[in-house]
Amino acid sequence: MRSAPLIRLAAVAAVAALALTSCSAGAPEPAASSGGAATAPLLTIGSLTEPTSWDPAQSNEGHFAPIYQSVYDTLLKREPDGTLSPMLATEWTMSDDSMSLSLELRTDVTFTDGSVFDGEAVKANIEHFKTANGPQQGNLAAIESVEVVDADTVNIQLSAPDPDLPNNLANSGGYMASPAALATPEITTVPVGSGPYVLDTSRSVVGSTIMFTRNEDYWGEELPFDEVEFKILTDETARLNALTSGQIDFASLNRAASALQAQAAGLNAPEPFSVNWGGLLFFDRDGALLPELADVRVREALAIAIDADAIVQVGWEGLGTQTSQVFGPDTEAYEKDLDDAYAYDPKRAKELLAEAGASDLSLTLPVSGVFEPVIYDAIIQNWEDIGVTVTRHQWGPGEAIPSMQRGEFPIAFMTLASRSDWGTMNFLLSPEATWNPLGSTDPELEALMAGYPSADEAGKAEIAREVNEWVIDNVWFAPIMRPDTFNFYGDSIEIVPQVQQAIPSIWSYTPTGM
Amino acid sequence: MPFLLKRLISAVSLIFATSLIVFLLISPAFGDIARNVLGENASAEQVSQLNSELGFDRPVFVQYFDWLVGALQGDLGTSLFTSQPVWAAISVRMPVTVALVVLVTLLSGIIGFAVGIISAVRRGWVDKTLQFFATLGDALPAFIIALFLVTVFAIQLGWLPATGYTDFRADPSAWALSLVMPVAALTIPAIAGIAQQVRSSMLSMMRQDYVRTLRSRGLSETRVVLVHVLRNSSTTGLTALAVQVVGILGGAVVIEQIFALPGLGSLAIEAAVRTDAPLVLGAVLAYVVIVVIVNLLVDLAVAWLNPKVRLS
Repeated sequence: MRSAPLIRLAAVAAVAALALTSCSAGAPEPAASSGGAATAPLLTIGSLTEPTSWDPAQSNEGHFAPIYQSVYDTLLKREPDGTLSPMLATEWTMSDDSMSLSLELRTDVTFTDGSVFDGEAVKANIEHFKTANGPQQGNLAAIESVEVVDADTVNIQLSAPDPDLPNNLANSGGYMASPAALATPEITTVPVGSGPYVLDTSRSVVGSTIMFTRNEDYWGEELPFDEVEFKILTDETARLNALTSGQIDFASLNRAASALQAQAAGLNAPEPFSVNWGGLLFFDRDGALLPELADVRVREALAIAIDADAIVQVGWEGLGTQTSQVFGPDTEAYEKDLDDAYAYDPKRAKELLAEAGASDLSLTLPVSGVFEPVIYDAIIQNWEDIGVTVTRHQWGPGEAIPSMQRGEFPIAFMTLASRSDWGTMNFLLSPEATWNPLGSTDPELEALMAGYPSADEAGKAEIAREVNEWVIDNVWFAPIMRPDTFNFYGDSIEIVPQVQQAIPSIWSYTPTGM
Repeated sequence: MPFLLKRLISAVSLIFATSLIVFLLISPAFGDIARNVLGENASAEQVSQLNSELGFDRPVFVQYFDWLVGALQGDLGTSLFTSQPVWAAISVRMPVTVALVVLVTLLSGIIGFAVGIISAVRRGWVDKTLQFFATLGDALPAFIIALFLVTVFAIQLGWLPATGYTDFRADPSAWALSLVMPVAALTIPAIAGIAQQVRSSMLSMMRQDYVRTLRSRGLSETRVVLVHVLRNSSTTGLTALAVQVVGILGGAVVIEQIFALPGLGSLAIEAAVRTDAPLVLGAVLAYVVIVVIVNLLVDLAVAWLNPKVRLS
């Protein structure tokens, strides 16, 4: 930074010139006027994303959750530790054969357009969700029909047991909108729910600001903030700057380097927790695209050739935990000892390749701009060290996920959310799973998974562990790490992190000292 | 007026050509759009259903023709990600970018001309100092200046907001404050380019015979410089300004991201990253329209200052 003082001088001079010529605004006021006060008039959250539509059937999870939760109540509530508690439904009972779920509903709830929440509303919402082709449509795939028993009771009939259904009714799939509004196209731009806040359309700008004010007729316990503002800050630098200067109270960051900067700036963060796992997916376990990959020894060689610990230290600045499992630590399937099932062993990796007759293996690794280049560099270096020839394929913006899900590459690096045991089986392991694009399957694995939904709690836990062990033994993936989730906040608020969700739910932010 | 007419015809054909090129450039992404709209958890059936709902399974030229017919009737389509009409998205964001570009153009024009004139007239140490800063300004990309400004004035001093934009009608002083740093970041490099052009053009003009003649007639030096020399060298300066404006628009894309200004640039980036084809087209066209208008205004100004141009 040889020329730093000159840059500074030039910039200061230019700003002074601008101040003289352009702005008659008078003395600048302090920028950090939002948040802060003990009466908690306003919570400002920096969001890296915004809803694509206010139609609850188009809702999404993770970073979107607190935005939708502000206006839409869910049937059940997911507490920060992941347990379920009553919300619009006061009780829920799964039938003995796991083929129907009965819900008792609140009777004192009205939507902001004045219409009443009842069994018919639940039916209308679920039917709408199932047909609207939204991103989380799969959440309610097991529901066959909704029977309205009376105004405060519904019976949900399933076509197959779905252990995740109650959880999904506390997430996308559980948001309840006014049935009258659901039938109109306006629902995409103006939400009509029964949640703690209402959208202030006059102070919201698509792509910039979402402003919520209190729902004066809210049926439940008031949240501590009179207003909630989501500032859409897609650029990581902008989000970090807004946070550091006190313009926003809370934001999540993606890059480890930014997290270090936020730490250095004295921002608060919860105890390290993780919602994702990152690593390689061996899509082509049958060798359709890369014949050598059908041999489990080749997959194992590629997995143990990776120095996961080094990648955690360099690619994520040490802000994460090395792992070999796709199941997260808060699941039944997880076993701590398995985290180093693929411990770094390049010598053994070479031997395995030789045994499999694949010493001259060459493969193509697709590369996405979303992840730090150093991660790809490290993986490629590790593989080249055991004699594998690696070609890079650069994905353009927006190409990576579609390309992976079309099964265009035998292997790819990705980070994915850790799910429930059943969720992981459905999204990664079943032959129809979105993340199993080439439809790998195995009779033993299928038999295990088929027994899961109807097993009792202890049986489910046992099966989940067996599935996890099977997947590790057969090297379907080469997980590298569980990256920490970077939630940062200023001194004016406190948060309670939410398991399996990138940022806290809307009811988990409180003013400091309350 | 054939001069204006010619300019208008070329402007319209430029806009038309841009729309076709951009459409063809993003068309390979069409197959991925439904997947990106639905996200990583959607099933293959959902994706193909959305693809046919959106009409992406039709030939590209059919899709372009449909788009063009709509566009000619004032319908630019709907954003695939925000369900907002493209026209609405653009009209909300246009004022931000226009405010930015107009302020930067005026300021860099005024300061650039002033710096260029003073350099040319005074020479000596004034010239050398200005030249030095002009070169420095030329070498610094706007985003580096922006990051530096944010660190000092928003984070350390807390004088200015680090991000965001306030509507002028809502609060004029907040509006001005939200624009100070973005405008400064874009103005500093632009001044340099204009000042250099004005300076060298002024210097060569001042060596010309007619200037000596004017001086010999006893005209004051101020009048010679500010009326006669400046008028003749302003063509070069204005052309440099027009070129800078195109550069400023490019820089504005990055600056809007850094300061989270809801302008056309950040709209274009978000749309491109999400492969939101109708929005990308709309945002790019809005950009082209701004460039065309600025160039038209500069052409008119040059023609007004220098009647010879009108004949060519």
